[in-house]
Amino acid sequence: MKDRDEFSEIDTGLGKEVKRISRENVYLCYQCKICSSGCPTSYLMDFPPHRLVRAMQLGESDLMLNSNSLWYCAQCHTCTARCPFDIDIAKVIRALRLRVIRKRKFTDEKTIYHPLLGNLFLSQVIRFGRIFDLGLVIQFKLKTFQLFSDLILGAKMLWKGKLPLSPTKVKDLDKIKKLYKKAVEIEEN
Amino acid sequence: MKFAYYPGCALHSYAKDYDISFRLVCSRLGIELTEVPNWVCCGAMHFPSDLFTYAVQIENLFRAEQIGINQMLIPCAVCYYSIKNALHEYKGNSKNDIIRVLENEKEPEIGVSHPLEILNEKYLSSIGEKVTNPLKGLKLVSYYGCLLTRPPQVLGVKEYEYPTAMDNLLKICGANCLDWSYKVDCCGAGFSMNKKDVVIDLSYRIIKDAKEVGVEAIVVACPMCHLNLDGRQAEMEKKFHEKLQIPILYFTQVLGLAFGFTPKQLGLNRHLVSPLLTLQKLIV
Repeated sequence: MKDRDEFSEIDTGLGKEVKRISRENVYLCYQCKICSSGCPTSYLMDFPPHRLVRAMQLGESDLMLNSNSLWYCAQCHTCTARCPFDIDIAKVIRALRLRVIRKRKFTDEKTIYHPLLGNLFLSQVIRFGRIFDLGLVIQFKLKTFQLFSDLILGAKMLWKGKLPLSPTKVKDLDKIKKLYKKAVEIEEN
Repeated sequence: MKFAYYPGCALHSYAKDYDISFRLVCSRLGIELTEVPNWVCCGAMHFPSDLFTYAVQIENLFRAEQIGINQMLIPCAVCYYSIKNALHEYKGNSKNDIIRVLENEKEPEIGVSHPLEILNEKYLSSIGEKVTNPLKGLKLVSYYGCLLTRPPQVLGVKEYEYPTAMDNLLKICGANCLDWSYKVDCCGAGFSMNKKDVVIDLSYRIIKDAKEVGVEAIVVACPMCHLNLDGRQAEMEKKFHEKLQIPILYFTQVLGLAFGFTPKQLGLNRHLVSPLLTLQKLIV
């Protein structure tokens, strides 16, 4: 087996960048396609996981970033579990996603509100330390102009006592805020 | 035995029934739970920064250590994965960065387990002794979903394609645990809000296979799986023109039933697909 840090002679720079942000070496992949055959959402992707990895090997960054695959990954880790070279493909995809979100190279149509959901989660945790489901759902539905979808499900859940009406707050929230600032600072350098 | 308990946001809201039944089962088995003071949300893989996610989990472990117990239980599969993953990163490549964020070089020492592991390792025989209301061959399948077994490199799970930890518990309770094909398939968990259609497609495949095997209920150990399979079942029926009505139970609720607790005590009246009719034959 190849050294986990070794790069192939076709090294294009993109692979190195992927390694820097995800610490995974995509040049280990020899295109066995086991990732794509087990992927539950590959039927929705224009580039299933093995092709996405191939694009990274060949330095096709536009192709990779413009495909919808990054956003249709459910993070179920089936690919990671089955990869014969132990490449954590789900982690590579997650790292790239965060990268794209931070650089704001996305349109809502393609990412289907992924960045919005992440930001709502973050703002709730900064405010309360925990997720206040009812508030999160209402904010999300308002911002995506679909207030009436899931109205029945929401009503049923409220009726069954599954959605608390007020948030609970954690002590020492300043610390959490500080952690976020620091983490982003380190990640961006 | 004493354990620290990290419930996570779901078990405090839409999965309250998991929390209630877990506490009941633990008290019957003599497991003492102490909730981690001021625990913070794990982020459910949604935070826009991975390093922040890791740091929050390690901070949670420090908060758990304040109780003075050296083992923590996490029933929610998403929280369980997030915290295990942060520990994995802490022991691996991201250690220095995490320490820089936390400004604390102390290593977390507390052990992290899912209740399924602990019950299988230490409590199999005592569960057998506590069963007072055997399940009379109730036909069940165990559904693990993604994050209880994957990624095996992070969670240290050996049986990740066909796990049996939950099956062992159900069998002791007198259930007829059936074999099926969708044990570790994804229900679409994280897409519940932003890509509802994907969830409905993926979850339908799971319920359909279970139905074809002839189950009376599906047993889960993850609040997201429960939310999708139970909450979205009406929408699946509408989309695929098929009557499903398969109740989804938490494994702690099944154990609770076998221990003689009533469905109401276990929060079984809170489900959207009511399991009460199916469970009627068990009630003496």
